Amino acid sequence: MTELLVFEWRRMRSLRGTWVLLWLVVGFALLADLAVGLGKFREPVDAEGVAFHVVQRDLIVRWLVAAAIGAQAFGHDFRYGTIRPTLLAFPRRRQVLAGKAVASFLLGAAAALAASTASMALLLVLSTWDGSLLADPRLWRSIALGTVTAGLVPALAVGLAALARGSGLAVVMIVLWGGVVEPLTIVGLGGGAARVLPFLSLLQLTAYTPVSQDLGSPGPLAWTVFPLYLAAVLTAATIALARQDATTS
Amino acid sequence: MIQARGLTKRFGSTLAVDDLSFVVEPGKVTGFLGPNGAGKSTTLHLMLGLIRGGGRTLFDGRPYRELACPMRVVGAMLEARALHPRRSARDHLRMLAAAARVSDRRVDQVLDQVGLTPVAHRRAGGFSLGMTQRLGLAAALLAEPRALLLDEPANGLDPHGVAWLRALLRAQAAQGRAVLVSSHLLAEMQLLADHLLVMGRGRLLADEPTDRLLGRSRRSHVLVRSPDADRLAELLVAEGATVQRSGASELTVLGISAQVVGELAHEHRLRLHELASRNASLEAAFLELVDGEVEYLQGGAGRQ
Repeated sequence: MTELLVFEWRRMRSLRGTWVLLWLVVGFALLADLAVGLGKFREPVDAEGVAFHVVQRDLIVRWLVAAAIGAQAFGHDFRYGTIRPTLLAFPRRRQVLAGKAVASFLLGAAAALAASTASMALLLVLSTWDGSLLADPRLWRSIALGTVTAGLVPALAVGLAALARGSGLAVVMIVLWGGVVEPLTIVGLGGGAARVLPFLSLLQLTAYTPVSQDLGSPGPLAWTVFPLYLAAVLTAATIALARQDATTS
Repeated sequence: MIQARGLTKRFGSTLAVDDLSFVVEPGKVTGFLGPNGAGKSTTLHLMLGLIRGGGRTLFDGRPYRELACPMRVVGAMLEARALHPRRSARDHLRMLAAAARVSDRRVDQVLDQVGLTPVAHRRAGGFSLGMTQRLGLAAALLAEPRALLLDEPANGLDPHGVAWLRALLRAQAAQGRAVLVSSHLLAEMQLLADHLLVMGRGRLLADEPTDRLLGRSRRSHVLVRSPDADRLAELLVAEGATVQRSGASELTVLGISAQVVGELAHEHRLRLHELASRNASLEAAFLELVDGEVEYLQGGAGRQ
């Protein structure tokens, strides 16, 4: 697995597009903080405000960018035919899928952590907030979960890209799923449905307080909702990869 | 050693590869020939498990997917264009080096070996076909594998490059590697291959040493010049040869080797001024062999 992770890291880092996407995550957070900081200069910020600035506000952007990074793991392979060199290097297809999912998880999470760290540093400079807020465990829980979720979404994108044999469709599926299907489900069935919907359950988990997201509190099994969807997609992708010939899309 | 057993692949109703079995010996260059659509590339993909199908291929006794570090056992170049166009040659090889568990120094060595050091940092998308082929070869050689599987490696190479490739592959075989090369360049394969596998319509039409394949061609013959041509012709016909007169003292002999002609002449104290084997070209032998086995032919004569 170590060789596969190094292979994936070298694959991702050797493309300028990966770095553009990573800087987009950090840059968006810093620009947003700068805009807010200049607008509310020297206004006091509480722990919930910090959590909002460094995690929740950019969560969707981070997920989307991380999804694009994850989708490229298989999307590029199918588009440019590099799936063949990949499978020649690592002929066990389940292992390839797992390696790409883990590598994308790590990169997505690292990008989110870097963005949260940069955002917090800028907020320290621009706003008035007491350092004692850092002792609030709920703030750190929110940051930690925001980081983990930014890793889970690209892992899902890896599976979807393997199924769709392309990155564009995988990202579109995530956008439609998280941005259209789930909100419409909430409208139709009420906020309680968020407990079983993958993206909204992630939002519930990362919230500093349940009320702050107007989604209600997460259910007792909220931890398992997204991983279950992820497991289903990765299982389907494993079966599809095993049954299909290594051809381009 | 590479052992392929019962390789079979069907695309819908088309049998692309039909129960193919062969062995690729170490220390030899084995040429893999066949007309377009014969199933050569499909066979190579099947051997490496890239496409699903029947049969199995063993590399040093194990299937490809069971090899602990496959790139150290088999170096494959199937489609040179399978590269990300925005990745540099060096980054492409460094990525594969991680999989092959070899150092970055080895990456620089193979780049130098294939002559790509000056363009190592350039994006592969800007490479010519010849440069891309060289990069594909570098990837195949990266982990110093015990076997090489190369699909049309000479495509896009200039004459100098083809000569370089020939020397490279002969050197690889001389070091004990099993080298399997598919190619359309028959003249080149005649110079390069010790052994030939010939495919037509998914079936194996020939699996024999290059010399023997050329020798049994209808166009291979023995040229004899002798002042006793009449008497020699009678003796040769009696031995079962087919003899054609091509001049007053010149005979074209088919169906018998130069060695037999020479011994017959010596036995009957006949003078010889010239005795030479004239092997058919690989092109002639190949065309005889695949006659009727061509998938795509001008004028609609082939199977479409």
